[in-house]
Amino acid sequence: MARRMLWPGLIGVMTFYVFPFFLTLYYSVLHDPFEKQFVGLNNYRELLQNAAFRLAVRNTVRFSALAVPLAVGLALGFALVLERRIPGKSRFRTALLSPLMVPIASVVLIWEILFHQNGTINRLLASLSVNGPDWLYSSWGVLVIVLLFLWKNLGYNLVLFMAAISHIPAEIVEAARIDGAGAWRTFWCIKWRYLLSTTLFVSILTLANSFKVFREVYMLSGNYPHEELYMLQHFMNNMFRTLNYPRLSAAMVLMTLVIGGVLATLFYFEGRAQHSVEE
Amino acid sequence: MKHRIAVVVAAMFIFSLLLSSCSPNKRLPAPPLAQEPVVMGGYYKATWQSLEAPEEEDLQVIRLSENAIYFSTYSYSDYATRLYRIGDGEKTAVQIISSTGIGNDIAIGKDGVIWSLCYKIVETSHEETDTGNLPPPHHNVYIQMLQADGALGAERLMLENVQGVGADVQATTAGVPYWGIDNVLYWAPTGDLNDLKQATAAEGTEYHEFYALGDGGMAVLVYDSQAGKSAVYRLDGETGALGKAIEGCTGENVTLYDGSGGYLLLKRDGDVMYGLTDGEGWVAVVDLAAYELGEYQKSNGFSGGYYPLCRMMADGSLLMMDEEYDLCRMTPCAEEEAATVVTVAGNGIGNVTELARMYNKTQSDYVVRTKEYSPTGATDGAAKLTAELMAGTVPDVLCVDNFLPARALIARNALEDLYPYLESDAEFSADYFVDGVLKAFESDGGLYQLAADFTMETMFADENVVGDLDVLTPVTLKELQTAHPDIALFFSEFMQEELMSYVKTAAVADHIDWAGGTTSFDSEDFVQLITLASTLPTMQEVIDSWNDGSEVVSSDQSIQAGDILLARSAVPSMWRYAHVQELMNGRAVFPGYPAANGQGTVLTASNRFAIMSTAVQKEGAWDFIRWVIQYQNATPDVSLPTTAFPTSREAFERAVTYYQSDAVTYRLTETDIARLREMIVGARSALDYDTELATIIDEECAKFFRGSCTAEQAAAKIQSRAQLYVSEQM
Repeated sequence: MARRMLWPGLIGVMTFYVFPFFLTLYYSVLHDPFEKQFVGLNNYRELLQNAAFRLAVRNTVRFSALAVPLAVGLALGFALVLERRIPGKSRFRTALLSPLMVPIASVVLIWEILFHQNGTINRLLASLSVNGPDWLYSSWGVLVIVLLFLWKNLGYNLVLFMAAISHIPAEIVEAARIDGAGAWRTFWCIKWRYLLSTTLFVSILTLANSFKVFREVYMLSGNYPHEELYMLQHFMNNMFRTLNYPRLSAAMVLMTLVIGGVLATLFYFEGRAQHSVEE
Repeated sequence: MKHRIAVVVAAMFIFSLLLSSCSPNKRLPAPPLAQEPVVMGGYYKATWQSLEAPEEEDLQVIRLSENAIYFSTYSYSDYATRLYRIGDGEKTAVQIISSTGIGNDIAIGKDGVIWSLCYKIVETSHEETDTGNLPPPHHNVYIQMLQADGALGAERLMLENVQGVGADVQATTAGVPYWGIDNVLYWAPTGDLNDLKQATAAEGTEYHEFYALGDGGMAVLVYDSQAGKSAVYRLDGETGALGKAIEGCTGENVTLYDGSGGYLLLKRDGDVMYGLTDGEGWVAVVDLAAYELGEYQKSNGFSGGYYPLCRMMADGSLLMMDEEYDLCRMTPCAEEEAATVVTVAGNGIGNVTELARMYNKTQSDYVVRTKEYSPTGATDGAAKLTAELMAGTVPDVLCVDNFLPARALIARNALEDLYPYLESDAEFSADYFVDGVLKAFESDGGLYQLAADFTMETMFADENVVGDLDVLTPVTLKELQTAHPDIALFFSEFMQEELMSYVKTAAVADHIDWAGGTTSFDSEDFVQLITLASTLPTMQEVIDSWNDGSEVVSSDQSIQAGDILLARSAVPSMWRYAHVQELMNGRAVFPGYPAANGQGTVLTASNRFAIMSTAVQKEGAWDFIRWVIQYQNATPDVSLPTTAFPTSREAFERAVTYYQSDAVTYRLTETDIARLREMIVGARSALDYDTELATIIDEECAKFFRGSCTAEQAAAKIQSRAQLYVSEQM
């Protein structure tokens, strides 16, 4: 009976994940989907030599390397602050969580109003006699997108960290305090051990979200943004639009392998952290 | 007590019987249908027949009978209404029905007898009404019986000296004629016009069209003006009373036809033909969309009926008339005898559908079906094509336009190179085309699209003023300005959008090296070009200027008067080229738009056809393309301003001959013709329009035009984004 219950899910996974993956693998070794000429790894070789792809990889890695630690670190920091009894704690928490509920289109609109060349920030700068840059079409664009990403994702990460903090046994923390451990030592020796697995989990989620930042960038600056904002998903989306399915497939296969590798590593460490806490 | 109840029940039963027998909605017993309903399906062969009505006569009424086609025409030369009969493939003029006839209607009775409704004008007023129209003439209304050879058998005057009477005539399959004249129903059960029966429509209702039912009965469409509804009722052949309304004969977009093929009635709803059966009601008989009879003309409420344009024959074939009054007979056949289907798809291809219909009427090996990606010609066509490509169901012929990613399709080997097709075609080779045209249609050395005609966009100047100016570069433009400081460079209404259109289409090629994967939109030339665009008025500014009451002067007038150095001109036709030369007394030179390489005349074409590399019917696709090109180049009316340049060398030379003949006011000189040929050979193609690059240029230039950035900054951003785009394609 239990096995039978598995079938619908299994069929869904096979149909929408496994089969498309193998189809993608198949397309990635064809010259084109029309004449279906087998070209081996030629698409991969061309892909790795393609300037746009390399730029997209570089930008995506740089963005993730910048945004993920910030989103995780800041959320953890805020969670630790909010753990204490501070005035306006509830309002602060609400403020951090509210971006989760705002539709992305309106968020992008607000961001555009703020960071447009003739937007609010540049007008403020102009009133201070400072000539503001074109935020979205210059190297400053990365900063804008990182800010947007943090604004959008901090709340969710915060909730996860706050939940994890609430599960740290209070008696252990209390015992440490009684034994004379300071705040830093309490955090590092007790709280961090309990929070490590959550931190890794939050990192995985944030990393996955960082790959999805394309949506915001696309809505802010279209298919071909400033070159520093050009992400892997821009490349893939544009390959689809220009019907270059083989190259798109090759990029997807490579991306799947890389993300799979990173996630497997993170999950491995998360498992070990979990194990260490349990011990 | 029981007895009383039994009496009351019996009385009620008898009363209800009496009531039901008096009810106008009583369902009359229908005679059995003469044959089993014909079931369409399987494979069909279509044969077309044109009525070939005389061109000088207007088609009036068309009737189909089992054995012949009848149609009447109205002639404006002698004001006569003529009746024609096509039987056994032969057309004969049967009779002049009326020497002053208008609004004549006919019905075909048994043994070829023709029942007619004839209006004869008795008085015509020539005094205009308040609305400026002539009032309808007074006429007498007759009903007639014509013999099979058209000779008048009998005639009866029904109304005298009337205006604008609504009337209709129809005959049952048993041959009984029915007339509806001024809301009175007449019928002749014995065929004798002196032995008419009549019935009057109930108050508030109007008789409209009649329909001969498949079982020999007659039905009439009645409009209830109080309810605002129409319904079709079976008529009682004895009393003329209306029977029960026939279900499914109301609503919009429905065309009713007489019953045939074993069906009481036929109706076309959208592309499906339904037949009314005795037992199962309306049943779908055939999907007409599969036969390419043309788009069904939607109507509000009932249409048709006036022309019985559809008839199902006893042998299983379907006789159907299309919108051009050509008759299609679809006969069942074996699969191998059926024409091979070639699919043609594209955005906004209404005119291609027309061509396909013409092709289908004249060619028998293939039948072309068109698939409209987007009736409005918008960008969603590209999404549909992409989805089809992914699904592996592509059309055979693609109508390429600016919204379909032609370059991407070529790069992905999705389109066939048509040069090998031309090389292997004995009758239709590269020599068929005007010099320079195929070169302009090329992309990366291959010929992926072909068109039947082309147009050009250019700028022209007076040779006496600018000399033999054959190219226009940013440098020559400056030199011109310096040499003629008192003359404006462009016409005051040469708009920013017009120059930008050129920038986004043809000029883009100057700044992209597809082979090397580099772009140069930050070059001085491009900056100069968009700077020049920024100096021009926008379309809105030009429109606003029209409202200031100043005298409107055209570009042609300005250059003729020597007020401007350069005039932008579309040269869509030989007529326009001759017109420009006439305007300038043969001194017009065509340097084109400002271009870095001086090649600023742009050649473009609509209705470009390409063959998909995965097409199932490549031979059929090629057959259709070559047919379209040859058909459109057969007899183009080059005297019209709107007739584009033919791509056919022969047709082009015919046009040249025409414009060098006495038929025109300005005869093109040999120098003019040489200039035109040079212009075509030197023209650059606008066929590689790239929506992506156009969008990038549009977005960045808009900021520059608004004053948000400098031309250099805009150009730098275009360069950055365009480079990204080009890099992706490498």
